[in-house]
Amino acid sequence: MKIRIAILVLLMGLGLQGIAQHLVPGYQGKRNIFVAQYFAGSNFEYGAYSSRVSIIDSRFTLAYEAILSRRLVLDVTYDLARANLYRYLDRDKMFCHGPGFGFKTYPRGLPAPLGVNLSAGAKLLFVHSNDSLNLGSSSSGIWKTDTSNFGNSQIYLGIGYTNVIAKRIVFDYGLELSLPIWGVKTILGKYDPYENQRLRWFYHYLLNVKIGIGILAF
Amino acid sequence: MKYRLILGLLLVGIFLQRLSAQNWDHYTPIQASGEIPAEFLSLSSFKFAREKENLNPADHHSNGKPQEDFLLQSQFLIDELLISGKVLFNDPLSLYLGKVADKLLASRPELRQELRIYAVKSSSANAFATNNGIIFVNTGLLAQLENEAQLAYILAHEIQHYLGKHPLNQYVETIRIDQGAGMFKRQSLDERLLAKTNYSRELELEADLKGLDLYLESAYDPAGLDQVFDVLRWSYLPFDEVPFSREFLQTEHITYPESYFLQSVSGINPEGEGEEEGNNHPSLNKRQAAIANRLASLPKSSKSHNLVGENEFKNAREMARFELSHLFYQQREYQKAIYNSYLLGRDHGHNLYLQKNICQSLYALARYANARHLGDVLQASSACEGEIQQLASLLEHFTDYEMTTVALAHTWDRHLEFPQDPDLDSLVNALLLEMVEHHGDFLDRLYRESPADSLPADPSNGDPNGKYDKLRRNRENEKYGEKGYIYSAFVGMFAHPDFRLRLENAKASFNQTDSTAHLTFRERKKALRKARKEGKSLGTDQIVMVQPLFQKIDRRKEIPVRYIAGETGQRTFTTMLSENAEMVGLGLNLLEVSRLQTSQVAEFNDIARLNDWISDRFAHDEVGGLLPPDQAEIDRLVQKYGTRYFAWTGTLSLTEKPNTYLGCFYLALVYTAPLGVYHLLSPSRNTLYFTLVYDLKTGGIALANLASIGAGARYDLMQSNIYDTLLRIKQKPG
Repeated sequence: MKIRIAILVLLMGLGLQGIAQHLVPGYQGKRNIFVAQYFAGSNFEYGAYSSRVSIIDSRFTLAYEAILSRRLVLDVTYDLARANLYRYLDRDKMFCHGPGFGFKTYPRGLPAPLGVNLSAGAKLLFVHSNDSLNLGSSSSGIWKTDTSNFGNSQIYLGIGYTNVIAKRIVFDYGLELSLPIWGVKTILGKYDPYENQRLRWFYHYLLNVKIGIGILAF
Repeated sequence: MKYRLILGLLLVGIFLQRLSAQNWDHYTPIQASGEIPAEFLSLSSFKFAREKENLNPADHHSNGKPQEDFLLQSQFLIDELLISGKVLFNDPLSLYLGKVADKLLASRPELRQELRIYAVKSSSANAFATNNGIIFVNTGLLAQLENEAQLAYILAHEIQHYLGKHPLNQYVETIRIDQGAGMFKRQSLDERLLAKTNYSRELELEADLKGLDLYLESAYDPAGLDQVFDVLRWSYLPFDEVPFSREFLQTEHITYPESYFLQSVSGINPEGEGEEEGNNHPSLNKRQAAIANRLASLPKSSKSHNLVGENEFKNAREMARFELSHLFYQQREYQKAIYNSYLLGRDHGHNLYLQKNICQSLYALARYANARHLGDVLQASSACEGEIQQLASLLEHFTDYEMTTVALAHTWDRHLEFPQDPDLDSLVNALLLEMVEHHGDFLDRLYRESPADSLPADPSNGDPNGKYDKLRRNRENEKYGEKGYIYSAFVGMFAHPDFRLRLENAKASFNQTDSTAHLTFRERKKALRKARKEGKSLGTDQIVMVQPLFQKIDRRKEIPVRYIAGETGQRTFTTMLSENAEMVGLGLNLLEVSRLQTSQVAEFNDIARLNDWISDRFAHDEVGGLLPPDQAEIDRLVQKYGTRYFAWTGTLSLTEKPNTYLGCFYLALVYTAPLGVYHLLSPSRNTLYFTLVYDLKTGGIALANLASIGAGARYDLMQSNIYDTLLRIKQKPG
């Protein structure tokens, strides 16, 4: 039932933006963009541990962007991420995926989607970890290899720049800061059983450099 | 039969004479006519490439880059002038100049073939030659000359500049001096400055003397030719020195106090203007003496001063003088405009063109006075020389309400004289509105009847002309001191029912426009926000874009203006405008000189008129714009192009050295280090896109789109901005 409502709300949102869209210029009348983005960057551990590189993140994102007004773009994404955790002797590898929803604003003189933009939104991440997991502290010596699925959600803030490099090809780049908020129970798997592992995500902020290439569809 | 033939020929002769004579009563500013010369339409880069091929490597000054730089800059600047609408062709003045050149170079037909001579609408008394054989003669110079021979000599002088390639040589020499090349290597800055001035003076003297040689080859009489330097010496003065009549701006009910006038005007400086140190032209006295010496050694000749004809010269000069009135008005030199029209009015009586010029100048002065900007446009009488000082003195004594009253009274009288003229009609209404808006209280205090008649006699006194009644009336008349005269100014006007009706309309119109006055601050803010929001789109299907501008400036370069890139960009820009208009479904009429055919002189003149219109609009920004001097012509353009919306659009791209401060800032933030490196290495770029859409019916801005982007004039940014602008023009508000 909840899923149906969510889908309904999404469709209504898209319908409303479709109505609003015909009033905005877009890029020469093109107001819908499909973008493939690649995020990469080192992630610093924060809080309980000393600040140092702890995760190397590598993420592909497929995004649909709808230009809502001269200054506002709706951003619907789906992330596919591969994260390598470096913590003491750990070499944990995790695969994450999940949907995201956000907005981009274009505060400068040109109409969206060109120029400098600020982005903000939220993402759900479904994490599949299937490598070695440290169940206790590093000194306990208790090691276990297991597969674990858990959910996590983040908000993200970004700054980027978009330009059109050919008639319908969009190129964008920028920086994005993801802030994990809380773990959620995933619809695809069981809830994270390991407090320690959940905290890993919880206490990390993820600063990535992104580049993307897209198509001005219609 | 024989008599009939003679009679017929006589009638044809009279008809032709009338046809050729200028109709001064219905004078309109001169325009270009006939076919547009090819050099007005061809690309500057093409002409530059051709000129570059013609460079003579054996030339003394032919040291490569400076020569090319000169050709590049001069070609583009000349072309800018050619398409500005200031340069006339196939018009009576240019044709006359051509005839004088024909006579001057009768023995040098091959040289005559090389030259193109154009009249330029400019009040400055000047003529100049270009390196590629164009000679420009300003109307301001033509208006001052005494005879045709003087004009022929000035042409001979300019031809020598062309033959000696003086503009090019002077540029190259200046570069050499600046760079400290050759003999200038060890010279100090002031020595170099002197060297530059001396070189320029040498060229002027050379053109004077060689010009005289050329002149002497012709059939023009050299006697008294040195007087041409007197013309140049005092060319900054009006074309004649005639006492300004105190009655000129007076009416039946306006008599100015004696104190408004000077007892005597200052004398004329015997040395004229422009004799100061550092002037690139040698002293006029020296030049005059050099020519006089040469002339003294010549035997007396029986040649003529007028080969084309005295009447033709006087006709051309009169036309140039008529043009000056309009030019002074355009340049906001209203005193000069009024005095120039006053001078011409002595011979042409109540000429509509001249009278309108005076009324428009007074209207402009009233607007500037009411906006407290009169100082911007009024030259102090102490700074004037000669008889114009009297007019300046009168105008500077006026307060804002006096200026408005005098302008209205004078314009009303001219309106009564020319009731059919729509421009005078509009001026009366505009001045009435000005009066109501700025001087409502003053308006209420004005006498509607003659003050002496309007005061009721004391009923207790049996004699209305008794001693105390007279004294009371005198006291009433004099209570405003020397300004008292102005309170009777409207007596004559109030007698006209039409005037009273117009005044009521002006009051109603003013109250209507001030309908937001009663709103609270919050309501006003809301209204403003709504207006701004609604102003974001226009809702028209047809628009005219006038001479779109594209310019690239790179401050890192020796010649900052990137002429060739700018011209290429200009073509791309106009193509984008057409393509995007089609995409948006907007009817776009691009008025651009380079897109015209040689037969489209009417469109060429339209562009010139529209450019004048927009220049006027910007020139009077302090007072929120003035009524155009010829609304009928503007209405014609609106009708011709099928829209009241005309747009001026452009792209200005500026490149500067890298922004090191920003680069270091980003570097310091570690994570943004790549951005810092980018800013340190790449130049700082900024582009301004602007589009101003004007409603020619009201003179106001209908839509403005300005965007300043921190990037170069990239293809995608331009496309996006153009599409957005055109969509806003097309979309209906709301």
